[in-house]
Amino acid sequence: MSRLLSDPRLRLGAVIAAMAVLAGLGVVTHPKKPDTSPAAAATEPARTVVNRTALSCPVLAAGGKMASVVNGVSPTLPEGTPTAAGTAQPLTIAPLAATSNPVGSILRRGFIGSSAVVVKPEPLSIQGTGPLAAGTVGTSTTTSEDGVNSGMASVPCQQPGSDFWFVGASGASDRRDVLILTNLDSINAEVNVSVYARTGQQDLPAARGIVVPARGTFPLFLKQIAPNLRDIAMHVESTGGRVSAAVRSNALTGDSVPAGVDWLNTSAAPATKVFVPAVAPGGGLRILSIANPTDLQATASLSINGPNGSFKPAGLETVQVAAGSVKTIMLDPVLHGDPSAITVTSDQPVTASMRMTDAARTEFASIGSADALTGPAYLVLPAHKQPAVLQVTAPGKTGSVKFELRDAAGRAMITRALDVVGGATSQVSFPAQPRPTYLMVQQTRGTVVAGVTLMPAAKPAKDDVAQVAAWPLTTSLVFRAQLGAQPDVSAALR
Amino acid sequence: MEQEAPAGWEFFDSVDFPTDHIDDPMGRPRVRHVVTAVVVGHEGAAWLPRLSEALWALNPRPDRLIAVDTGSTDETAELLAAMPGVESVVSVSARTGFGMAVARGLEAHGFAPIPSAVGPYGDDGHMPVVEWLWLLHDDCAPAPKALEKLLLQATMSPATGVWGPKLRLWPRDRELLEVGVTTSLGGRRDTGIEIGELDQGQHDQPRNVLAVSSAGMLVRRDVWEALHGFDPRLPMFRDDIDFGWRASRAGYQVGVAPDAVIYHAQAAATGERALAGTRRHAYQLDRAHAYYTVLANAPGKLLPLLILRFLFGALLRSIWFLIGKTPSGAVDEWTALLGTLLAGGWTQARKNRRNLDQVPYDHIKGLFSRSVHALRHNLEETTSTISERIREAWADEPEEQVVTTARRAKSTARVAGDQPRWRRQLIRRPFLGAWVVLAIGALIAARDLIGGGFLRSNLLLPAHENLAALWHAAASAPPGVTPPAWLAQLSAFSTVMFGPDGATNILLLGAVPLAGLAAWVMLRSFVVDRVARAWGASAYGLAVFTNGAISQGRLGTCVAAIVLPLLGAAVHTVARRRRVYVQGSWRAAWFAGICLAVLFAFTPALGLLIAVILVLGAVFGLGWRRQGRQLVFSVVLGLLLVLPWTIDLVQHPSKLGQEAGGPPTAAVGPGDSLQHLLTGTPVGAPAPWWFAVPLILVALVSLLRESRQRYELLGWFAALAGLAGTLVASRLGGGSGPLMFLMTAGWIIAVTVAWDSVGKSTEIIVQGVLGIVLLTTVVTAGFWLVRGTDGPLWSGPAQDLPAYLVSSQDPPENQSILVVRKAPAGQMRFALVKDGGPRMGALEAAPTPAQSKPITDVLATLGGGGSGEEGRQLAALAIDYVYLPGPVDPTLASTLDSLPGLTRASANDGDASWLVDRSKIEGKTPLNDQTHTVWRILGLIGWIIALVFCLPTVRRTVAVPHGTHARRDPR
Repeated sequence: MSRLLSDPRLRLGAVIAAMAVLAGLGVVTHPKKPDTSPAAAATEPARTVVNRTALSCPVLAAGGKMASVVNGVSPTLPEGTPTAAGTAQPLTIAPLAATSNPVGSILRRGFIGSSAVVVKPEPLSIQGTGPLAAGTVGTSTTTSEDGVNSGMASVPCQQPGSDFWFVGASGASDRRDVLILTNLDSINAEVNVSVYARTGQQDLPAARGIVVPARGTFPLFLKQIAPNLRDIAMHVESTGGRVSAAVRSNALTGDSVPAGVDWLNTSAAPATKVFVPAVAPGGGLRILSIANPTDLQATASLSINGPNGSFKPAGLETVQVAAGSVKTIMLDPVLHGDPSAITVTSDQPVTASMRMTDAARTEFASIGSADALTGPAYLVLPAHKQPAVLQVTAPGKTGSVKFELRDAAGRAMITRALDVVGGATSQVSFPAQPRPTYLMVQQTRGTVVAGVTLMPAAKPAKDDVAQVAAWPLTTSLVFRAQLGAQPDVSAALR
Repeated sequence: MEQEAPAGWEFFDSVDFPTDHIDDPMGRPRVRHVVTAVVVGHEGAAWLPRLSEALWALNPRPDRLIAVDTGSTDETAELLAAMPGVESVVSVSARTGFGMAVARGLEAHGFAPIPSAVGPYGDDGHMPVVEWLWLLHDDCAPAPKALEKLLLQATMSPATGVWGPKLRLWPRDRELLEVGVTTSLGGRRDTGIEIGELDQGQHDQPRNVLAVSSAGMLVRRDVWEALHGFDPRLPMFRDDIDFGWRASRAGYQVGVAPDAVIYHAQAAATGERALAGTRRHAYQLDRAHAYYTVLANAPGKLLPLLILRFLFGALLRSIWFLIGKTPSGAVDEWTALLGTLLAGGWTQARKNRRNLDQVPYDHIKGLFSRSVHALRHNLEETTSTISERIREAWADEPEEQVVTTARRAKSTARVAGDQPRWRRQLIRRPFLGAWVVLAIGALIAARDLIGGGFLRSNLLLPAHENLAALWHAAASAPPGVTPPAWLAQLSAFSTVMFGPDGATNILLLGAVPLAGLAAWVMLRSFVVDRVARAWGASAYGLAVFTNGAISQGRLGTCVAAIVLPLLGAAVHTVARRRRVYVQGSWRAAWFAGICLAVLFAFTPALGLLIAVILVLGAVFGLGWRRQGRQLVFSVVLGLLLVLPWTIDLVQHPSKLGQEAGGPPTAAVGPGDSLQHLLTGTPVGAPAPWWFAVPLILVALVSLLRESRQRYELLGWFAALAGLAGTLVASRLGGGSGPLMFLMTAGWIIAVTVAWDSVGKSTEIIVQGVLGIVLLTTVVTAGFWLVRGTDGPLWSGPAQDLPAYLVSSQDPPENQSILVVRKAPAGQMRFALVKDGGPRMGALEAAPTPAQSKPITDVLATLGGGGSGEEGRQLAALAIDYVYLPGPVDPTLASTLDSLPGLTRASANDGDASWLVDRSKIEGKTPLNDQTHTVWRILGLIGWIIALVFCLPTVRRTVAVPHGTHARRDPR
């Protein structure tokens, strides 16, 4: 070896050959991507089954002879849904105060639990942990035969959150609208409310820095903070703690005769394409409010998803909504009493809601824009004397849903699959029920929005009090999304 | 009386012969001095002729000259007998001490008779007569006027009973040895003169001292008799100090007359004459006598303190001896102290001296040397000992040394003598100039990085706040995680180098000059041409920069670049073939083991590669003989010294691909680029890859030469090994920065060795090639100066949190902050910041995913919108703040905003911060560190053993006083 290397040419050759061999190896092999991430965390599940629920069920203010009830259910979940760990503990329906006794409970999955029907209602909550929590929904319903609260006011109980939109409220003299903020937590919450009206965004110091006491409610009277402002949109944001928000609306006719009561359902967060589902069939006003919270003028185009497909209403193809303002459009002339949905496409993020009255304009309901369904949506329907109508809209391509109606004991009454032609709204009518039922709608194909409406009979009996209600169908909280998180020491440094 | 001076008498400074009696310039009455001189000789044939000559030249001469021979085996007795006017020589046994020999001489011949009042100079009968005893050694030579000046001083200050001359180095050197001597109460003999101090008249004031050396000591007869001469218990060391001390106590002053010069050969102190006269170790004897002197003479009230001081000093010195692998020195130390304390007879001596005390201690206190002087002297002596031993340690075979010296002489011979001094120095020491340039360049290249806080980059976490934090971190890690070994080594280095931050600065910013210096140390052992050596060292230093180690903040490569040449030097010492019987060097093997331990800790891949090469080379190249075994031993030692880390490397081989700093360094390497792979330049290095091309080409050309191929092939072997290692590492997904550095180092060695061989050639081709190499280095250096601060390395605060959050981590709050970073549509990354935030080693000692799972779960839920419970969960995890550095993810921010139990807190611009309400929940942090105390203690013991074994052996240095008379060991 050493004798071989004593020849300079051999030496040079050997070294060059060695380098060439190594270079060749370098060409034919490829470097492996180094693992520079911190110790790779075990892959986290992308979602977990909800094991804790807290729903806030608002109630009307006293007035007249009322019957108020909260119906809640821990619904029968689709096949294959995992169960949260722990033993099944009943969910309680109880007033807010920590020391209060429950007024009802949800004992078993699939069975509707109801609070006692009371005449002097107080705000309730549905709370609990354990396997029963997943998908739990509730509905707070008040019916009254006369007085300021005559008719039906029904709203799904709401998950606390930090961001709510309401469109179609009013501070004018013909309305008595109250934003009710509820805090289910044991820590005070702080809320800012931004108000948008026909004339643009309002600077209302009284609507900022609202402290919602722990386990309490805070009513914000729109007539006080925004007197004489019509067509209000509100953005409720919590800066500390979580709240539930609901807008109670008592309408009056010009001569101070009550014209019904209802809750304004929340609207989806502003987007460039919003869907207002479940525009009820029948006569009466259909008023669409479009709120543009941005500081640019929005050019929105409407299309109406009628039973036979979508069309653009003549003269309303495009609507200009000024920056920070709310615009209302009367749509009953173009809807012709058809069950419909509205699609608003805008160049700026907008949100919308629809106000519906019965033909006699003695009772109304409001439904906000809704997000498309992405999973099973559950809804407890209170007892109703008229058929309730499930309206399913496929704003884009043809969609299909599967739905089930179950009675209070969890027995399936109707189970069907429904295909919805693209752009059209299909309706399914459920007969009147003397007892609460619950509905499951699950999207199986396409983009689908849905809602349930209740309208008085076309030819009501003489002593019937008109009951108008609308319930949106939103994806229920069965799974909670989880985002991967990774321990990484260097995250602390720039 | 006037005698002819012997021929050749010209080595004294001033040769003027006295012609008259000693006149007092102050006009005091004359005194007649009668001097009896005693010369004690022992094996002094080499010096006695000079003493004889000096005595011939002396004027006035002593009135009687007594010579004592203590059992010499050479012609000392004859030479003594030939001295001018000497009495018959008295012979005593070889074991007789100096004082005893003087006493025997005086017994035999007596003091000089007082001459008759009527002498050659007239009637002196009215003049008082003073009798003196003058003690002389056989290796000293008084200047002609020495006795005259001594007597002159004695005339002027009659109160002084003991006089001493100024001692200068034999034969006519201006080097001062002693002008009086004193002792510290610790027992240290102190002359107050620095080693090598020249006599420029700086000590020429006659003054009182504690004692004078017995060489040339002039004692009044009554003093000598009153004190009974020297203490017979002190035959050799400290006899003079003891005598002076006693004289001072008894009220006879001791003075030094610097005008009187005596030249002294220090025969015993310089080892020219064997120190004998006793069976005991000279060191032990010296210590014992020092203790005895102090114990016998010190005032009684100081004794307890002094004994404590002796014990403490003995303890320190014995530790020093143990470190220096001379345990017998420690034994000497303790036997001397305990022997003297318990059976030294000092109590009897104190009793005998009780009646001496005429002068209170406070009056002579000023004559003693201060302890601080002793301390300073000890320090100087220790450092000089260390440097001397270290120098010796690497050059321990004489015949090679001779060759090197000859070659060196040849290489410096051409330096023109007429050049100015600085230029001559520069030509003689080109590396000195190059190194100064490198050091200044390092400052320039780091201009933006010095003093701006902590050094940081994406590959370098900030250094610890202080030494205690680093020390804690070096052995602490979450359960199941091994703390990185390099932290412990860095903490040891920080202890001597200005704390963790200072050490990091020195290692990173000073890497170029330090690596250059280390390379120079190695190249010295086989490269003779100074210019070649200077070039090699400078190019090696600059290679640290072209590798990108500095600008990317790769501490591992910087340290490896500094340690690699030291390892090379040690391995060279072990492995080279020498013309001596014993091959190899265990001390170098221990040192190589330490270097390997550093490499294993800082750059595991490089350490592994070199360990494999060393083991294979030891087994196949050197055979399983002594040298091979030493190399294998060093590898095993290196693996043992970093022990828990070694196990960790075996368990997680992916850590081999990292270097000090953590996982991101695994991305450093050639990437996909072939040219980066072949030129040893990592992608992202500050210098372009083609900077290395001239070096590689010249290294190839150098293979064509005929001579000294072994080192060049070794250099090429290192380069090819580095290339192969880089290939393997990058193909397995590891980092290869240090391996690519090894390639460059190999080429530099090859070129340096070639330069060494052909550097003197005048062929134009050779000069051209060398010019290309030099030009490349100069261009690289310029590039370094300009682009030195461009890299990702920057200097800033240790944490990027607001000041209140940084200070909240300190006690007593000890708060912890959860920093969450979320890229849009990306995963969240989080770090729990507490105890000063992420610092060095935090990436390696990061908690396992299982340990941080509680936090991961909470954050995962929060990322999905949260359930409202997370505020309580965060509080239960003892998290006080949640911090989102900008750009803040709006969804996550609003989730946190609405989370019960969290309130917004102030944050830097663009960031967001929340305070977690922990008032109701006593949280418990999920991440707890565990301190590996056992490993730490084992590691400390191992390192101390290794360091002791690679340090040179300490020798017992006996500060032999200049006046010590040598004795032959009668065995």
